Amino acid sequence: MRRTHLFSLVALATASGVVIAAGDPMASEATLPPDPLLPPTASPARDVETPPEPEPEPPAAGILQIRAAEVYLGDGNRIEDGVVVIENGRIRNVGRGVEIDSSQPVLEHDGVLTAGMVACHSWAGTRGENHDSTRSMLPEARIAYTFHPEHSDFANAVKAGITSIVLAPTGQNLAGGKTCVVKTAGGEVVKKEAHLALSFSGEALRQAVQQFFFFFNAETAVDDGLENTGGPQNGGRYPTSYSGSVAALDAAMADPQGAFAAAANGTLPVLLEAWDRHEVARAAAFAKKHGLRGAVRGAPLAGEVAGVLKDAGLGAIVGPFAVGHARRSLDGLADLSEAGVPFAFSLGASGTDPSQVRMSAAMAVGAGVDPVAAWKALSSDGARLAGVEDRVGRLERGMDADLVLWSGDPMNLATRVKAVFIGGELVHGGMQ
Amino acid sequence: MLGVALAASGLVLAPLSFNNPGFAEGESLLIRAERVIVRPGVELENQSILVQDGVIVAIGEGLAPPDGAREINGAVVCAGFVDPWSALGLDAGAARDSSASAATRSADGVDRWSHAHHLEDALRAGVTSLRVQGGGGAVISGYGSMMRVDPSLGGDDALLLDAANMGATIGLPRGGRTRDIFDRVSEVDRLIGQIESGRKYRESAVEYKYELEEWQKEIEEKEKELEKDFKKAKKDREKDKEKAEEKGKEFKEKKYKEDKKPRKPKYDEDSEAMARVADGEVPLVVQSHRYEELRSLLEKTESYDRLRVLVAGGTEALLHADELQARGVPVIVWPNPMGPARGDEYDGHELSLAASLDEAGVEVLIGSGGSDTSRELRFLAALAVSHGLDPDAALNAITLGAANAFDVGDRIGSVERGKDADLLVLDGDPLDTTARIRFVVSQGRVVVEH
Repeated sequence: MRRTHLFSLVALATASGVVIAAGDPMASEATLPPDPLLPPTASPARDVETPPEPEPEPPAAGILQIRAAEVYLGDGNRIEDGVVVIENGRIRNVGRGVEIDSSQPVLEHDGVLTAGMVACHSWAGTRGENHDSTRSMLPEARIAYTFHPEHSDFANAVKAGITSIVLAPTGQNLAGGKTCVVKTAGGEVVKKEAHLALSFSGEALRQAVQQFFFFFNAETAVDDGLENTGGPQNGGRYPTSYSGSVAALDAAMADPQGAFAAAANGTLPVLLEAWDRHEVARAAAFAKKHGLRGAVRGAPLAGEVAGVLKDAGLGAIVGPFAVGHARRSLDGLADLSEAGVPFAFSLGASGTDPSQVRMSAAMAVGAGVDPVAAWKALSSDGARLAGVEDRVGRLERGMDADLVLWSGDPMNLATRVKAVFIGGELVHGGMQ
Repeated sequence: MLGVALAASGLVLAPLSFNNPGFAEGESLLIRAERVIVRPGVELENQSILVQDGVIVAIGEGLAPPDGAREINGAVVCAGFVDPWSALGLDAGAARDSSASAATRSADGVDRWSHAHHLEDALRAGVTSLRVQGGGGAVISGYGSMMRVDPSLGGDDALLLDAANMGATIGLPRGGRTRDIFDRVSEVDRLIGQIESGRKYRESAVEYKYELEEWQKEIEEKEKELEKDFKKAKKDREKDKEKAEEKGKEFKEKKYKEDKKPRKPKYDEDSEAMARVADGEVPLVVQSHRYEELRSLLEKTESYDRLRVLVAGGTEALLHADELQARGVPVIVWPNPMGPARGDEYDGHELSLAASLDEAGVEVLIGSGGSDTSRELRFLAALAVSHGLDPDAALNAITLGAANAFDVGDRIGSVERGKDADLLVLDGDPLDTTARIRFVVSQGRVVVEH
């Protein structure tokens, strides 16, 4: 079920009490045009979706108009009684008092309409193939290759109102490779190379060394009584210390090649995995030293080192915060917000309930974060930190028609997702 | 004194809260609100609530504040939240204890001093009371207790109801391992065995009481008879004695059957506790998740018509919704959005469970899963709403429903005259997580102000 034709909207309208004013639903089949932002070579994930025969030219534009009681633009502004016009999977127009074409369908929504949410980091849907325990440096690895669009993680994310996700490697490789940004329905890879992922996470690096060690040397090492000595018994993966790891990254940046070069010249942002505050500080110093832009990710106490991040010009990708997470993390988000450090939320590991993403933001609001800032973290700031702000995260002419129809304010956790559109197509809600 | 004061002011009041440590004695509070949520689904507009000595003494329009009363104005007032499934305030060892038995009191495992900051967080988040259950590692977990959250109350002063329920866990991983189906279902048999021995214990206690009365009656009759025939009996005895001496035999006193006093059944605290369960004096909360264990539990408890069962967790309870509804078994749901690191018992975990059960007519309560995260109770209820639960049902699940299920509904859970003044003053709807909680009132004392 890749494409949902507009006649599904009739079903949606009937089921959720919204009214379609006009238009022949059968005549308005929408098909995505070829994506101008993607290079002509299709990614493997796209190959999965694309039938072998070439697709016919898109038919005449299908237009859908949605009028909502309130529209959040994603840039912090809200408009009452707003209209969003969708054409060919893109937003053609948005605003108050936008002229409605009565020959085309109109969806009336008595609630809030927003852009789809962006989860700015995730290990979703990658079936564990997002790290390599044998080598520490994999700067050219593309996580996009592991993207499996039919994985249940993505369908679940859609239901929670998340329409774009950054897929990232784990922090077990010093250079884990290049992240990508995908849509949660339809299988589209929005950006094949979104960040270079580097790890400053001592814990993750340690785990990787240990895994490798157990995998290859467990038996002989135990026989030799060397199981806990590390060093050469790690099976050959280097570096084995934290300072050695930082030195290795510094060395890679001294004469940057490939992805490192792209990071050095600013064309590829970095995603720096860092958890403890000293790791955040280390990552920020590294970014500053080598003139990198991007964000740290993990960093539950990022707020307590907000000044360091601000100084290095980095953003922070945090969470998701589970029920019972330390209050300090949430309080810290208010500090990030005040310091002007952009932040966004992670969806975390595969199998995580995507409700955690909006709950993290709602709990942050409960802890004193400005609701507008919290919503931006889930939409426009998330898109910016993902490097796809020209495509998603805001409702603006030319942006992808990734929309969520909510029963009310999405920052109120009790608010329900009524319908989700990706690329102008209904992918959740109504009779879907 | 309280009664006198109220009688003087001409207000009718249920005889409550006389033994409430921590109530705001001698203090009065007048709260004016645009909306008063009396109980879920029942609202009043522009009302004042008068609180004296920790108790709501009047609700009405334009009540005048008594001299010296503190006045608070707010948008919405509702009852303080009640978490029906928590371990907040319990010592971690007591919460997980695998050696608990029926007579174990959760209240004995409470360490409010080291958990004061967590209690404070929960109170700020509007949770004024909760049920703590220890013994989570044991099939029979012992008595759970209803406690007030207010951290200024030490130890037993915080107890609302000591023996609020009997706890049990069925089919949970033990020692970090998931048990197989036979082990899991056999735990139902162990539970039923304990209920049955409780029932028999009470039966034998009743029998003993009856037999003792009978025996005493017989003794009395015999004594009268002996008194009446005292002389004859004395002669007979002397005659018998002489005879015995003549024959050189030892004289034996005549034995009467009345000499055999009925034996008192040996006191057993666990059986005594389970007797209270079998008799429905205290409800039985069974944490159980899978279809099989729940089926076995429902089958085997059916013949105990006084037993009051609640299910906690109930991951697959929806498959038994009809029976749960028909038998009036409430389910305490934990609408926690989980990550992949979760117990096997939560494999089929759905945030829509509360909504689905409620739609099927099963009474739903919402708790924090026996953890110390009661402070997120409001977010959990909001999540259940965002996944389809009716907002009134969700509010009921963390206020009056929870209070009623554990027999403290006459004291807390709603905003009514005569009840303890456990109140929240909010900017908006209690389950709208963007609405701030401005004041938390516990037993008439303003314990949180924002």
